[in-house]
Amino acid sequence: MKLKVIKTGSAGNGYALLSSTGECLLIECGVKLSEVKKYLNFDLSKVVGCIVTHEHGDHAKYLKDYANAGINIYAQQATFKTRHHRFKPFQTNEGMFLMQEIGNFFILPFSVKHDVPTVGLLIHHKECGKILFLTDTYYCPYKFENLNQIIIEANYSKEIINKKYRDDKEFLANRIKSSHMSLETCIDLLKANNLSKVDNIVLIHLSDTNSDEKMFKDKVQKATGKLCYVARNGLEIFL
Amino acid sequence: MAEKNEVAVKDITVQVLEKVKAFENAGELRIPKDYSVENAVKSAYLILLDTQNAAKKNALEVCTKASIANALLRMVVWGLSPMKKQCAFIMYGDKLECQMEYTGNIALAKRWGGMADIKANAVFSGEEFDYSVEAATGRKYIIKHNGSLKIQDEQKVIGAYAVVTMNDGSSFAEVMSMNQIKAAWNQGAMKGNSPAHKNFPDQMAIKTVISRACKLLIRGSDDSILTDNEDEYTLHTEVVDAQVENEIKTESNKQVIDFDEVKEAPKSDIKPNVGVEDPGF
Repeated sequence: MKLKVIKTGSAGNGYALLSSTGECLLIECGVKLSEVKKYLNFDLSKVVGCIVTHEHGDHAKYLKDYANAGINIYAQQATFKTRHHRFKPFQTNEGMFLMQEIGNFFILPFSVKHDVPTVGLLIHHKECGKILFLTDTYYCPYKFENLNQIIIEANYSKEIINKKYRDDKEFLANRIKSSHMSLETCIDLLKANNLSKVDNIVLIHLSDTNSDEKMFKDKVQKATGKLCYVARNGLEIFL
Repeated sequence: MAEKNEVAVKDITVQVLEKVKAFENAGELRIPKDYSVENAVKSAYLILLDTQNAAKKNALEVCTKASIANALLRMVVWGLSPMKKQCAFIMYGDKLECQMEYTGNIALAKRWGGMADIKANAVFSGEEFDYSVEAATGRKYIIKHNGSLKIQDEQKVIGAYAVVTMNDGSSFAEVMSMNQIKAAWNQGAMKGNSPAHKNFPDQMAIKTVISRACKLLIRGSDDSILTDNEDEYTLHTEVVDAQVENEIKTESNKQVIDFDEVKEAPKSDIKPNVGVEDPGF
């Protein structure tokens, strides 16, 4: 299984999971469809679907374009602002999302803590095992078992943000703190889970200005003892 | 028609309030701490209900929605209260404008310009009046002003002065002769010929000299009043910090969530790149 970071960060998010049999699951549609096409050699038939975690532009801006190109979009109902026959809202039962089967991928969405309705994802595929995909949440209420891969947001470091927004823009600082995950919270989350079967940890959605790639990577590796990547546009890793 | 427009203007006041809140939240606008936007906008609405032009047409009927919204926004950005007559809404055809009153000048000079107080008097012909200029600072000081009711009753106004006291205790005076005052009136629409100017020249002269004294303080001021709130900032961010921290501490990483069906499905032995054809990209 190959993970391709087409784009990451608040300017746009797009991730692709590509199995060795040629199945492609897209996560987020915050990048232009043309970028996805380029990556897939203009063959969208490989795409089994696109999951969108929430409605913000950097994750969902090109929702309609993708749908019009024949890609099924999976998201919770609140994320869809219009109707389209390619929009497939997650089924729910007693407030919990049900598992979705998309191609050979099994997806279990769960609600997380952002300023709009947002989901995190457990993705299972026989090639790479169980992936946790978690972004745009300032903490995660859940714990996970037997994870094999972790793709997680580490947006800002408290140290950097407190220094930077000392003078002004308290609103922005407060907004980030109650909607995105700090490096510190991310590390706490990793430590709270059993990581014995985890192969890779990929840090995504780093803030352009409130993060430090090298420091983030070092701190996570030190805290977990696991191989850690910092996602940047165009990064490819085998899970 | 009037009723319909009333509804429309009520909408505008709501819109302006929302806009102001949005600006504030985005950090694009700072409202002085001692100013209530809600009160000002609502009282502006009440005043607009009674604002008419010479043809007895109501402002809400005649003026465009955009000009009403602009006038309200201007009032808010200045931080003035129409109820206290710090500003007035004037109709120019279908345009509504928010104009500062001399009381507005006082309010702004106090808020922005470090002014503590201002007192002004008219000077009548025949009164004992003398002022001097301190050479070192260029400040004017009133040395003497003695008058009598008899003089005030019988004589003409020959000038006016305002004494400004600053927050740091210092003071200075602004002095204007009647010719200077009339020249200022000439800039106005009525050119000093309104009933008010004719019947109360002393009061109008006082307003003029007050405005002149305040304007320099206002225009020469900085925005420190808006930014000198470090304590408040620290307090607010600390409160948000504490709330978020507490939530993260107590609510995170608790309940286990997992697949039902594929829970036990083991990771298959297929290794990437080993005997597997590259999917082609």
